[in-house]
Amino acid sequence: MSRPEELHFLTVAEAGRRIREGSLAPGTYVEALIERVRRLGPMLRSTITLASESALAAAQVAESELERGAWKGPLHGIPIGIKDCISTAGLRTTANSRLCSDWIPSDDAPAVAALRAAGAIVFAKLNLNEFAWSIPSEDDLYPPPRNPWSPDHFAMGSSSGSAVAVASGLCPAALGTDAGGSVRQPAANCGAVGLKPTHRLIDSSGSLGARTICELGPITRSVEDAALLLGALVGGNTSYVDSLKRSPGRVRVGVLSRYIDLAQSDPQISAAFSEALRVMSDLGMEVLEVEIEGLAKAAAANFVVLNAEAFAAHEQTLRARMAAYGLSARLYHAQGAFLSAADYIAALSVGEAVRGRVDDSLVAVDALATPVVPVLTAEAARTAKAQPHTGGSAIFTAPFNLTGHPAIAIPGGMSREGIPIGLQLVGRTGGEADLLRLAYAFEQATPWQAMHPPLDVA
Amino acid sequence: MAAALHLELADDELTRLLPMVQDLLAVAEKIRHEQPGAIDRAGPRDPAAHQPG
Repeated sequence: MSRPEELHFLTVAEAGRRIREGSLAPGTYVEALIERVRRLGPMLRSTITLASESALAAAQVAESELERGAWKGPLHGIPIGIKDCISTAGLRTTANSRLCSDWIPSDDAPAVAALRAAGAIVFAKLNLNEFAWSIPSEDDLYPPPRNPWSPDHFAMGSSSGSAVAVASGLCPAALGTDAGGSVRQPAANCGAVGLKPTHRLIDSSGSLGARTICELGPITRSVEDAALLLGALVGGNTSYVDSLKRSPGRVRVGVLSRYIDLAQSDPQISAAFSEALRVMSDLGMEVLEVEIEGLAKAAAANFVVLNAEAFAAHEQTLRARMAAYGLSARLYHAQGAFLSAADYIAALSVGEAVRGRVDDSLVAVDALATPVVPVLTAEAARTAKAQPHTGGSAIFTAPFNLTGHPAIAIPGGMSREGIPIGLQLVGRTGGEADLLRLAYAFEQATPWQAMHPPLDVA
Repeated sequence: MAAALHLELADDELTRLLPMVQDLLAVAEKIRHEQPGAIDRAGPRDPAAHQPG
């Protein structure tokens, strides 16, 4: 039997193996994580709703199924956190807004249903910026999560609670949403893996987000776990994880040096990125310079699309119940009212043009590499420009929301202050298997995945 | 303008919103001007193209 303290940092893959072989009971696992959430939750503030009762009941069901040999796959009995803007049947879904503080959806979002069908247990609803589009503040319905590596700082958003919970050993994996970097940035900032899949690979209905640019994606502690969750989210595709450990072969990695220089990243991030390129080169990958025209414009255009779609989704509620929004969310969602149809169409057109250029560049190379975010902390991200998701803090992530290409953030370094630094890899449309294989090779060659925040130091 | 859109915002909220909207519209305008629409892309047409038959 495993001791509770040994369970907190199990990967999904390892916990799944133990559950299948019978050395770990889902109930024991869930109990250990509940205890950890209760102990660390008040400090970390990552959890809005801990689904103790339903998670324990689901664990009992999983144990019965396993006893009679009805194993559903590697997620069977695995507790998973869900960003609280994604609907969960019978479980409160607040979007961290006073507007939804008592909303209990009757249906699961399809992505949640897919995870449950794979045997996963919905364990907790996780904190976020209000409606995933605001600057978090202490007077939010639930105050902002703290970065477990440096609790004096907030965690980057908007899937902040998801990244904090995974990095802190409160749950082995979470499901977030990403409309401009909201899975990848918090994952990088907390030392986790965050995957934004190809546009529409995963059904994003049942979540609150901008329709044409927002994807649901897993946040995990390993690339293998991201592959496992992605497989379940697309309905039981095991090819992502099956191909993971094959050699990626003679991979060509494109580096957008001129674009990266534009961002004037923190010197520690630039140094970590250079070191990541050296690691890839040592792995036998060919690192090549690449230029793609219009990426900065794509980041800005993504911001226009996000604002237009955020207002469109909230228009009636803004008019009827403006005061129920937090101040920041109120202003963020209102600003899209001032955009014209021509603005929106022009922004989408930028996406079409730049998508073609990214596709062209991904003929010459197998993946693109960039840092994830040019600054180290959530506070610095906010001052990088007046608003997040613009060309400031989202300069590396947002273009690929607009173009729809898959992108993954993986741990790629550590700052002197002890705050993780991420590496972003961008793949071909529908090329998640290749992208994950490349990320896995990098992960295996670096020490970052094995590191955990110093939360258990006496 | 907010009133015209039936958005009830207090004066201090409008004060905070204004620079955000100005930023956003500046970004949108730059994109729009650099991204001609379908008619702009087509350019001036040959008058003969408008002849019936």
